[in-house]
Amino acid sequence: MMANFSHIKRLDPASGLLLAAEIDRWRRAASRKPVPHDHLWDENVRNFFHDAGLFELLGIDPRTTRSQPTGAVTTKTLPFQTGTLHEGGTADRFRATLESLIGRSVGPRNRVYDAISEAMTNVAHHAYPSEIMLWPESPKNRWWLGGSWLPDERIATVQIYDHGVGIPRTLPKSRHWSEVLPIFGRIDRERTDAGMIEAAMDYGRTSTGQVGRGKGLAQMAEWITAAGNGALRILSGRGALTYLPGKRPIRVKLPVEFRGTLIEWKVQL
Amino acid sequence: MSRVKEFSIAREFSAYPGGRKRDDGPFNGARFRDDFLGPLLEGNDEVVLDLDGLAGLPSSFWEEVFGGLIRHHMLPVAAIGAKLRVRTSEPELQVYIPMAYKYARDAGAA
Repeated sequence: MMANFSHIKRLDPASGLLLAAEIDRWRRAASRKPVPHDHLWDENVRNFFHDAGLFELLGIDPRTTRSQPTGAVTTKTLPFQTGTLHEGGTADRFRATLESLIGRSVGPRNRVYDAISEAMTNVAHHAYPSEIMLWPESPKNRWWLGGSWLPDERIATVQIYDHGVGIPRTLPKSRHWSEVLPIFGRIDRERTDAGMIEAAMDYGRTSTGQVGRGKGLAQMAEWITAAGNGALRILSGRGALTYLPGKRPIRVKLPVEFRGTLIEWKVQL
Repeated sequence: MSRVKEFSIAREFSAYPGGRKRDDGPFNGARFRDDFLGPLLEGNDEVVLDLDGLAGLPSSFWEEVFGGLIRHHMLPVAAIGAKLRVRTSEPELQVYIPMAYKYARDAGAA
């Protein structure tokens, strides 16, 4: 298999994380080392992956070194992290590294910690159910974490991605589905995947006790709520849901199915 | 004389708690409840959990501790806030105190 990146001119942080996760998934499933052709990549792409630690993630040596950019540096990127459990130390260090890159806080420490932590825990609980076969094969319970600072727009981003079956395939099998279903029917008559994600989040925010995935989704949004700006974006199945503080969430029906779940926080500083 | 035990979660368990079940991660809620808090409650008249120094308290962890105490009949709801109390001197962490008592009440009402 050959992945040709030479036509890519620029990567946004979420796309970069997805590409890195896909190569990492492939090399773990195939037990093979990818051969990089980074000397053929655009400078922006090469530098993005050098900064994000793609080669360290994959355990390979690049053919190039990071070059001095010819244009203005528009994105600063944190090294990718990956794991299979809740790793609280990783979550808190990641926030601290992002803040040292920016030189200021990205939000209340505990809100950021809780948001990333719940995303990690949700992967372990829901993303890779043993009763649903995955093809292509995925490394069980694995998540990938990325982050960036876009100085021109003054936006800090954090992304966590899993290569599991996605929220729209697991939620209807959960024991809380009968309680989520009326909310789903009320907020989205079309019954889209984005509406299902919104219903789960709504249920988690308003319900008590062990409420499954929804509670975690609701807590992921609390960082954005505390910041008072920015957005939480969740892509899964054929749905994209963008949560904005104090506004109605935006639902988008995706033209093709998105494999796994991507959670992205964006905060304007 | 009543025995009161103060327990710092950050120092004596982990500053980075998270996860609900034992296979979620090393510092999960079930492990904290059963291996740390349970013995403390058995050996003391009163236990005070100190939250200072924690990076945060994810809801799946915190609900498993307090909701789990009730579901597993380790403590009656009425004893939460009396035999088992929660304190912190950090303003950002104050939010977790009413949350703990709410998780216990909700589990008791379920």
